[in-house]
Amino acid sequence: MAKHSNDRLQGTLDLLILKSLASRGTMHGYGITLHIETIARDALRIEEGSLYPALHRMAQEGWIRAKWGASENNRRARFYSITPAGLKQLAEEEKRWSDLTQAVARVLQFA
Amino acid sequence: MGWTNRLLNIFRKQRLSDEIDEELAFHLAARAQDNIASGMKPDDAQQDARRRLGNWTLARENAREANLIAYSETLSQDLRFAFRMMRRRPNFAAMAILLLGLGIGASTAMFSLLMSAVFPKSAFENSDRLVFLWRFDKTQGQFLPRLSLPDLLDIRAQSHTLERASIYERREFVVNASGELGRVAGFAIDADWLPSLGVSPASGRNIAPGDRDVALVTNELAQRLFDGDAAALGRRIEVDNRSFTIIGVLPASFLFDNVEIFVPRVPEASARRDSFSYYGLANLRDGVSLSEARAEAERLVLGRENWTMRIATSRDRLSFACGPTCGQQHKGIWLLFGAAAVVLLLASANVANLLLARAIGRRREFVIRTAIGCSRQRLIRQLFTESLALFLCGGSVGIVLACWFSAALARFASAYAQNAALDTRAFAFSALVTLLAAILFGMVPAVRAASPAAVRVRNTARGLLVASEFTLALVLLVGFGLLLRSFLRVEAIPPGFQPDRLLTISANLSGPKYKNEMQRIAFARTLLERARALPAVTSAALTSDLPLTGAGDTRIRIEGSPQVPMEVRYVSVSPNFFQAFEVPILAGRAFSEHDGAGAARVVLINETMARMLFPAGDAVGHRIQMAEQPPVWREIVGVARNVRQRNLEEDSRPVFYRPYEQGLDLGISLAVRVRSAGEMPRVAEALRKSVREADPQQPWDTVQSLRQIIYDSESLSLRRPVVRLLAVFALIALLLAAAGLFAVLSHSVAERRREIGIRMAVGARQTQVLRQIAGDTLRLTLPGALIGAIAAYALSGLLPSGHIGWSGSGVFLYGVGRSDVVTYVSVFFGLCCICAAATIIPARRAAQVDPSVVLREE
Repeated sequence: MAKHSNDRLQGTLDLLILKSLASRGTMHGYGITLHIETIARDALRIEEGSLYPALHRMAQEGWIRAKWGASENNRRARFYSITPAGLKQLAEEEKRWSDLTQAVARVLQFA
Repeated sequence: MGWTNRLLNIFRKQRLSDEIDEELAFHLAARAQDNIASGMKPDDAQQDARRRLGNWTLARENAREANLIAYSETLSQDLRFAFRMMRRRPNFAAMAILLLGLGIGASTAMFSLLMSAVFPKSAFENSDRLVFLWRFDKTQGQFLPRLSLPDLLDIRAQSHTLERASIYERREFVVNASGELGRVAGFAIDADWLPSLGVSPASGRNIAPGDRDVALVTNELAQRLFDGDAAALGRRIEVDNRSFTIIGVLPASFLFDNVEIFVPRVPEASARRDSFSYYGLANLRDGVSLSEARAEAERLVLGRENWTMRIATSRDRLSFACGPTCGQQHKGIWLLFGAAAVVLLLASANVANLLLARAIGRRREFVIRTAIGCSRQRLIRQLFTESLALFLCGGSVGIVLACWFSAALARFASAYAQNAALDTRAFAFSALVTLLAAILFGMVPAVRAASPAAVRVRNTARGLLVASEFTLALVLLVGFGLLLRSFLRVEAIPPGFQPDRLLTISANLSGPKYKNEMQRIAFARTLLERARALPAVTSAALTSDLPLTGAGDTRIRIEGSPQVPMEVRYVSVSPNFFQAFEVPILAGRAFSEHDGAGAARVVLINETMARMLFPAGDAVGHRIQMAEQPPVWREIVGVARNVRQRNLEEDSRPVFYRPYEQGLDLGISLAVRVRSAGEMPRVAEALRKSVREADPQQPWDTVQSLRQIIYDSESLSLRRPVVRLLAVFALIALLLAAAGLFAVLSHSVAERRREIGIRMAVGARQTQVLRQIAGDTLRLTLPGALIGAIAAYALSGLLPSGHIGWSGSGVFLYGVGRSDVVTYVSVFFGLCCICAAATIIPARRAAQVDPSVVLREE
């Protein structure tokens, strides 16, 4: 079901989301945004709205699970957590990413 | 959870949207709160949150789409949009749909026809178990469908692989039902015959072992004899002057070698092993394979010197059944196949052309859509849907047109179209080709929607499409032109006699009354006398073989010549035949009333024979002998001009004529010359009555005019359907190519209105503008036409020249070379006309451009 695997940017977003959920457990969309922001320190700017289509799509793929719950200040929010299928997908995406970066590094080194 | 979940989401779309909105609202609120917490003013905090979120609608739509079976949702949306687009540009839609329909329809009808001709379907239920017992003749190296009766009986008795083996014989019966006589082809069959075909009578019963004097008839014969099958059961008919009871009527769908009556086969004691006149068919036993049966059959007839046995399937039989002309007919069929393929290609090219044009016209729309965030995928999907919608409409039109074309084909070319039911495979193929063209070219705009370079590429592509359309159309036109010219040449061949106002009626004197030659001669004399006495008849003659119908062969020897006997045709005629048919006598004399049964044996020979045997021109006075017992010498008393005896193209083979009173076989044709054309129907009726009264027991064919016989001769009747069908296809092809040219020209004029306006404003005259358009036309068509001419010349090498006598096909050139100037010139002229017609409207539009209006636009 990796129909977007050739789309690098989208794949990267998936990777970031999966990684965040794997390391931090259950989070809502805004939480994921903050997490990526903190780690990447503004180096990766995403349009925050584009996070949600990705989340919904990944939920449909079965990589993450979504559940309505209460936020820190008791507002209704949708919380996401990673599933076993998502962990597998994450491993794949990580491998693909490192393959790509290594390849690019080699090119930069020798070209 | 995948797609079921998404499918369910379709039914709660609204809730889904609300949920996504809520989620996004939470995100905004949380961000704003954090902003305030980090010291922003509330207004700025809100604004910053919005900015960071980006396009809310897009996020919502995309998230929503992710939750649905995306395509099913957008499909209906896109379809609605596609139909809206069609309504907004009805001309485009109508044109595209019509082109698709035309391409699919014409080629489906044609391909269906070809499928049924090339891969005939077996009509019988158990055709996979049904086999036929054939002979393979080792000396001739070919399969022959008949065996001897003793062999068939042995095989039936000894075979372990076959069951329900039955033996049948083809016969021609004279059937007399309530006074109406007719010749009917029939089989003498065994009781197992119908069961092994898997057929049972629609009413009544099958022939049982031991039955005698009973008959089965086809539904059609029953209709013809008694108006309806119920009435036929139990009726008595006379078959060869014996009374038979009809015990069953076969289903209406039953068709086997055009045989209409079936009687029990009477066991024959004196059958010989070297007389191969019986057919055999059987079923394979359960679990027996065809190769096992074949092996056994060869074992059973082991040791036969010249032949072996072959088990044939019904498919083998069907491809054999169309006879020796089959392969040749197929040549004609493949030619038409090519023509249909060309039409299909042209229609596809035109659809592609239209879609490209529209893509260029819509580039503004695509640029805007891309700019406001429409993804490439989404755009492709929409264009795909639009192509699909067009195709669906076009396909439906195509089905309707295919039915219509199919009916027209059957009427037009009955020689090919006995079975013109639409073939689903043919439809699928035509549909697939056009669908591919529609999708391929329909989606081009999604690829690099905007850049000017892409537009230029597309314009070039359209030019290439038009050029290739002209190439294809030209090939078809030249092929059609060559065959039409051949047809006209053949039609113009003088048949060697004067066919106007000649009526004829034929019979086969096979009945017991005419076993003896003297009886036949006496009957012929009566017929002639009666015919001469008919009002409005200027002369009446008799011949054993009419012109253009062939004649019997015999071997002759020439008195005093050491030459080996040579094969010639012979015809028996009444003395006045040459006068009545207006065949000139070139030397010697014609027959007279004195050349009767008791007089000296005389013959006339035709020009060819005189030239071949007596090159010195001294034919008259020599004597020849034909193969007969006892041999008699016949003196040549004259030489007649050649009559086309077999077909129009064949310059006659040697023929000799003998007076009918000195020898007459079974076939006779009575011919009368009518005083005026207006009296022909009346004379035809009188002639029919006259022969009936001469012997009410003798069946006759229908009255025909000699003109009709020429019209129906295989020279013309095999060529006619090919020429007609090609005419239709060439016309369609030409129109399609012209439509393509028209579309491109109109579009380029519309696109260059500004340019034309500016040029006219700075002093260009109308003629200069028109010259430019004409230049466009030439640029688009000339290269295509030139390539087409070369291709046509190369392909016309596939049309052999020769005549029907050798080829049995309608696709042969006659009297025209493949580089026939007239054909190429008229095709070129036709092309010029159609190009001019396609150019006129765009050119007028260009000439009418008003600079003051154009320059003020935008």
